[in-house]
Amino acid sequence: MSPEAKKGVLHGLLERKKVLICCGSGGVGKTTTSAALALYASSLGYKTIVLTIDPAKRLANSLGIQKIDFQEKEIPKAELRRAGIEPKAPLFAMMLDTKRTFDDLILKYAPNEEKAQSILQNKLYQHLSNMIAGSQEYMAMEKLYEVVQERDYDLVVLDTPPSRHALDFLDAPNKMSAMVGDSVMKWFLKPSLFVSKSSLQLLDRSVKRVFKTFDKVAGFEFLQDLSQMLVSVSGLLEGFQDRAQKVELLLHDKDTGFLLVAAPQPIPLREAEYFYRKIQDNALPFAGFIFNRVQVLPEAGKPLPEGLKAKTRSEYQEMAYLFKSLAQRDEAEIEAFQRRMEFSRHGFVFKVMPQLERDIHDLEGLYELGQNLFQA
Amino acid sequence: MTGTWELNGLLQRRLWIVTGKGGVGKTTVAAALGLLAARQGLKVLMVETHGLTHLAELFEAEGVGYEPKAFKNGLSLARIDPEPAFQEYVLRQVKFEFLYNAVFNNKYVRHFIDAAPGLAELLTIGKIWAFVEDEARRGKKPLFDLVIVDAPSTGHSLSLLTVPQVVVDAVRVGPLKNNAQQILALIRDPQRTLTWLVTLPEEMPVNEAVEMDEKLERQAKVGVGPVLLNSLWPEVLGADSLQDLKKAKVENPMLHLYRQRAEQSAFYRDRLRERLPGRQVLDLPLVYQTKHPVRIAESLSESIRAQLTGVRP
Repeated sequence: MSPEAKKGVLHGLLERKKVLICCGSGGVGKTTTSAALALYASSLGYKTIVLTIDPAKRLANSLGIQKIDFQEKEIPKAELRRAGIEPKAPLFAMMLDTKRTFDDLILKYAPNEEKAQSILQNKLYQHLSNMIAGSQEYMAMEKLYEVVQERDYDLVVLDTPPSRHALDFLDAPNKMSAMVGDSVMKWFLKPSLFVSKSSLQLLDRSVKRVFKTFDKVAGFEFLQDLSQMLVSVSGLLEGFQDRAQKVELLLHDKDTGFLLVAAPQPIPLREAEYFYRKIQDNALPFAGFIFNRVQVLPEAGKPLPEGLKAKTRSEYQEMAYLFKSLAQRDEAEIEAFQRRMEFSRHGFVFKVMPQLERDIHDLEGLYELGQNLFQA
Repeated sequence: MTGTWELNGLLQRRLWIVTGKGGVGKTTVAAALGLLAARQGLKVLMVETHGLTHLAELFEAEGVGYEPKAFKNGLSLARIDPEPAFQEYVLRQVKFEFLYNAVFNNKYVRHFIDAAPGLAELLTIGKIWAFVEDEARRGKKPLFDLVIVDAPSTGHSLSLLTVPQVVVDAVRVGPLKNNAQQILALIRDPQRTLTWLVTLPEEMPVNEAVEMDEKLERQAKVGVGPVLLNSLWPEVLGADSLQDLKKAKVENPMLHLYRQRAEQSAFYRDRLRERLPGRQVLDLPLVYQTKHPVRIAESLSESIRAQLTGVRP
C-alpha cells in the first residue's frame, strides 16, 4: 500500500480545517486526545497549538516541559527529536485559566483603569467569577477566538473544559449576549437605583415591586453589592456581546470542526449523543467521533498445554470470559449508539481507540497515540 | 474523621453527598449506595442536580422531576433544577404567588439565574437542605431517613459545598444569610452529613481524589466518609495459577494484558491508600458478569455492604 492510500479521514480533516474543537464529558481522555492530535499534526508540517486545561500538569510532563503557561509556549524541538519525532512544524501549548481570562477581558473592555479595578476588587466578583454559569466555557471560546485572530497557526486544537452539561459550552456566547438584552438586568444596571434605599421611591410601581421582593429575599445590602458589581460589569457588556457574536461566527465557520470524544459507557455515550444533536440543531460543523478506552479482544494464542492444574485452567477460562464480556459490552454500546443516532460514518471521523496499556507519560506515548488516531 | 466505618453509623447520617472526577462511575456507585440504604429499611431519596437525568435513566424510572417520586422498595428519586428551586425559595419569602408572577416570568428568572454568579449552586444546595430539614422544622417526621446526592464532578461539587460560606461572608443581614447559615450547619455537621469520594485505580483519578479529599476537609469543611475505589481489575487469576502458567511457559497477548492491568490496578490501589492514610478505602472490583446497569449497581451495593459489615455474601 502506498503511503497515500493509508491516509485516514483525519488527514483530510487537517487539509480542510483550521480549528478542531474536542468536546465530551469528563474522564474520556479528551485532553490526551487533543494533545496527541496536535503533536501528530505538527509532525506532518502544520504549525499547531493546543489550548488545554491541565490541572495536574500531567500533560505538560508528557509534552516534555515543566508546566504549560497561560502564554503560548513552544515544545522544544530538541525534546521532540529526543523522542524520535522529526518536527516539520513547531508545536505550541497554552493553558486556559478562567479567572485570568476573565480578568484580562475586564481590563481590556473597561473604559478606564479605575473602573476595571473596582470590578476586580469587588468581593462578589472575587468569590464568584468562577461560578458564573458557563463562564469557563465562555472563556475557552474567548481564548480560542483571540488565538485564531491574532496568530498564524495552521491548526488550533481546543480541549474544552469538562461541562457539567454539554449545553453550557455551546450556549455560553448566547448567554452572555442574552444577559445584556434582558430587561430585569437593565433595571439592575441603573446606577442611580442603589444610591440609597429611599431612591426606591423614584421607581415606577412595577419596578419597585421587583426590588422590594429582592430586598425581602436577599437583604438590601447584598442587593447593593450585587448591583454594584453588575453596574461595574455593565460597561463591558456591549464589548462582550460584540465579541460573543464574533465567537459564534468562528464556531460556525467551515474551517472549524467539532470532534466528539466519548468512552463506550452509557453515560459518556448519552452525553455524546446529546452533544451531537445540539451540534446538529445549531448547524455547527461536525467532524466526527473518537471513542477512547475501548476494550478490544486481545489474542488468546494457542490452546493451553496439558499438565496445568484444574484450578489454573478454570481461572484462565474466567480471564478469557472477562475479556470477552468487556469487549462485547463495548462493541455493543458503540453499535447501539451508531444505530440510535442513525449516523453514517461517511465523510466523518469514526475512530475506535483501544484502551491504552499504560498511562501516557511522555512524547513517545503521545506520538504513538497520534499515529493510531491518524491510521486509516 | 478517620478509622474504620460501620454500616450502622453511616446509615445514621441524614445526607450523603457522592462526588468524584468525571467518568469514575459516580452515578452507578451512588445508585449502589441508595440500594444499600434502602435494603437496610431506610426511606431514601436520591437526588440529581443541574438538570441531569443519569440516575433516572440507570433505574429506568419514568417521570422523575422536581418533586420526589417514589420509585421502588423505599427508594425515591428527584431532580433539582435551579428554576423551580428559585421560584420555591422566593415564594417562601414573599408568600404570595401573584406577586412572584408579577415580578418574574420564566424568561427573566432564567436570565437572572444565569447572570447572578453562584445562584444556581446556592439554590441547589438550599433545596438539598430543605429535603433533609423541612419536615423537622415544622415539627413533623421527616419524609426521608436519608438523602443521597449524586453530585456533579469534583470542581462543581466544591462550588456547591462552598457557596453558602461565600454568602455568609458577603451578606451582612437578611433571610439569605440566615438560610446560608442553616445550610452550613447541616453540611458541616459530620454527624449528619458525609461525603463519599469515588475514584478509579488510575493516575489522574487517584491524584484528583487526594486533592479533593483535602479540599473537602479544609475548604468545604465537611465530613469525609469511606473512599470508594471503583472498577478495580478483577483478579480472576490467583498467584498460584499465574505461577503455574509461567512454569508451563504459556504466553500470549491476552495473558500479557491481564497481568498489565492487574499490576496497574494493584499499584494505584496501594498508592491511594498511601496517599490517604487514615481513610478507609473500599475496593469495588469491575463488574463484568452483567452489562445491565441496575444489576451492576446491585453487585456494587453487595460489595460495599460486605466490606462495611465484615460479613461476606
